[in-house]
Amino acid sequence: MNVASFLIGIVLPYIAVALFLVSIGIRINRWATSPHPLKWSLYPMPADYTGQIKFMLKEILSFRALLHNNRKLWAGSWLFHIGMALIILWFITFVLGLHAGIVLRAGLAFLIVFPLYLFFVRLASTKMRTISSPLEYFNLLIFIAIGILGILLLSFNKPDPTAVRQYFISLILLHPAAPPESSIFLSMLAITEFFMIYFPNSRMLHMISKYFTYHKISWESH
Amino acid sequence: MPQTAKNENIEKGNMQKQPSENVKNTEKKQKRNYPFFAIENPIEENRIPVFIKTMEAVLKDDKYRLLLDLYLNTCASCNSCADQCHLYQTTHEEKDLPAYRSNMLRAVYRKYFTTSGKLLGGFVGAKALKEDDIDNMIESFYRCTMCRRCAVECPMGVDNALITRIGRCVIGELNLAPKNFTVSSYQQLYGVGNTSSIPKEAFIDTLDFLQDEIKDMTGHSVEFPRDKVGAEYLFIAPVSDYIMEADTLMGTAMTLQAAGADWTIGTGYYDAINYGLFYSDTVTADALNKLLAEAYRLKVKKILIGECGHATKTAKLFVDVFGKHQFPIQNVMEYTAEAIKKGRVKLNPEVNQETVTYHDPCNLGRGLGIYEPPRNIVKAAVKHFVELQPNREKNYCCGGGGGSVTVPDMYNFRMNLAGIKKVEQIKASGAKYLAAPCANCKKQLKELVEYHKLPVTVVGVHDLLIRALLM
Ligand code: SF4
Ligand code: SF4
Repeated sequence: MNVASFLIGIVLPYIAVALFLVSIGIRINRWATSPHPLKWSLYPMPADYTGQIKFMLKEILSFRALLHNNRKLWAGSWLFHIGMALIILWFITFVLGLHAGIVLRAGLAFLIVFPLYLFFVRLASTKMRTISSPLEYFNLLIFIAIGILGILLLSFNKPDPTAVRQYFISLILLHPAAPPESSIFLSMLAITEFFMIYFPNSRMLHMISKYFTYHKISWESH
Repeated sequence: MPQTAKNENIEKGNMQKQPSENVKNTEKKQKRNYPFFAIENPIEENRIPVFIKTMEAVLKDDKYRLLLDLYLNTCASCNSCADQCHLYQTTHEEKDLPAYRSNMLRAVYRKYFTTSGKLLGGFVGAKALKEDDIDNMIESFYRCTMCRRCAVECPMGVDNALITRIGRCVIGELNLAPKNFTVSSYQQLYGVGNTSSIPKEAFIDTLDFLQDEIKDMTGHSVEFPRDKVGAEYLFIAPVSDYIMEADTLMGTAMTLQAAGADWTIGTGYYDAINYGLFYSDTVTADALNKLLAEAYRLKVKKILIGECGHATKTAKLFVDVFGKHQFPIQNVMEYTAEAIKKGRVKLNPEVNQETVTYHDPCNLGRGLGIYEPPRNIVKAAVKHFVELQPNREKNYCCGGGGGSVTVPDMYNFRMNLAGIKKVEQIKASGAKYLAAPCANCKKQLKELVEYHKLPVTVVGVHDLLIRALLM
């Protein structure tokens, strides 16, 4: 095992996961415990807990607000997020012993096509460009890169699935084995680790912060 | 007596000094020109460091730390807010894009208060603050009418109007608020005691006059009770109503009497207006505490606020923050709707035959959820009611929100840009009367109607009750 394999395949996975969880934890804790005396309710709001859950489910599953107001963006971001969900779904089933290659391929394809689409939607209109910092484009590029590396890996340098699964399981069981020998696999691993460290410190954390914008601010009745 | 809120901002004090005190400082220097609106005694030097220091204080302040941190990190830059904004839909100007406006503050936040911004600069949207930026912020933050229509449909739950308020509070600390806010608030807090500078004697005369007027118009003897210690309700209206909205006040007094309310007006403090909502926490707190002091003085049980959106919202939402909350606060829409429902007030809709429509004031609707009570009142008082389209939480701002209606320099802006969506809505309704239970909205709507020659009469909700009440 060379140095790169050791670092990216054995050390960094743990550091990345730890930083991922800890940073998210710190953020959540900060938002949950910050005092918020200024009331700024927004009506209408769900009348009770059940209403809140219903609203949230609808919003999370269908991207309701975008769906109603911004079809062009909705299509792109909804399918993009579906792509992420597919990858996560694939990963879980893969570790559990299923080989749902089609899910992986679809997920990767989504991660290329739809962020690319969003990238150009953002670039194409002055109105969108005006409110975008380079960061917005960069965030999309990370996904595109993951998608492309994944497709390359499957097409040109496909490691033995059993070996890959063994490797993931070894990580999970805290007995890390050497990663499969493939520079593309290693690059993909590296970029995923970067993503995990970066994610909690980026606006992509909106999947969590969004909970607070509603529950702690808009839905706080007087 | 209520305790004054111990709030650091109060000590800092961003009230305008009286004109004479500051003359020496500004005489010699080249004066900056503020084209968007007149500013009294603006800060002329060191604006950038003062801005950053003020923002630092705001961030440290418990009131805003969470809000800024959360909102400025959550926005997905999707521009859905722009599609909701009445102003952007009319102007299509960069400075009216809600997210662009918020980014002005976000850039400063990132540059001076986050590690990533210090290290990565423009890449993460951070930008060093320049003189021009401050002027652009003044204009942009005041073009936003804080109506919150954008917040309703933000997929991230971000409220750009709150960012506008925070931005305005920062520039307000630099004495860069419109002269009309600062001078009126000075009069309210330290001068005559109200934003229209109506002396107590004149105010009492007005109450007498209104009583006589009701007698002449309807034949009923209706009282405007004053300083009745121990009454259930302290009634307080925006003081400008006593100059401009006599019908609203008469209708309200008649309704309260018909409902058998135990109410009083305080002649010690009779102005519900609180411009603090639009630019300053200090002013918000001081005005609220004056209101509370009057309620304590008269030993009332509740506070009843007249037809005014921002005053009701400020009192209902901020009294816990800035004052000591002892009194339940109600808006007169809630009171009257309840009285009608309970049968304590009876109305004859036959007297109001013309078609009436209803405008949801942003602060009563989106801000407090008072959507149905005014509708129930209007429907009970008139024969033909039509909705504006869209309505309720999707209603368009009158175009004079965020206090802009009090700023004469913004007249053209309000008539030709901010109010255009409203004009279209009113035209499409075909109504003869437009009822709006808010002093700000009424003034703006009346000006719009005159300017655009719309065939509509703007009234308050209680105006409709003067003839409809069965007494
Ligand atoms: S709608 Fe919300 S998330 Fe989208 S740009 Fe506006 S504030 Fe940001
Ligand atoms: S609060 Fe109103 S005026 Fe301001 S950005 Fe939102 S929709 Fe536009």
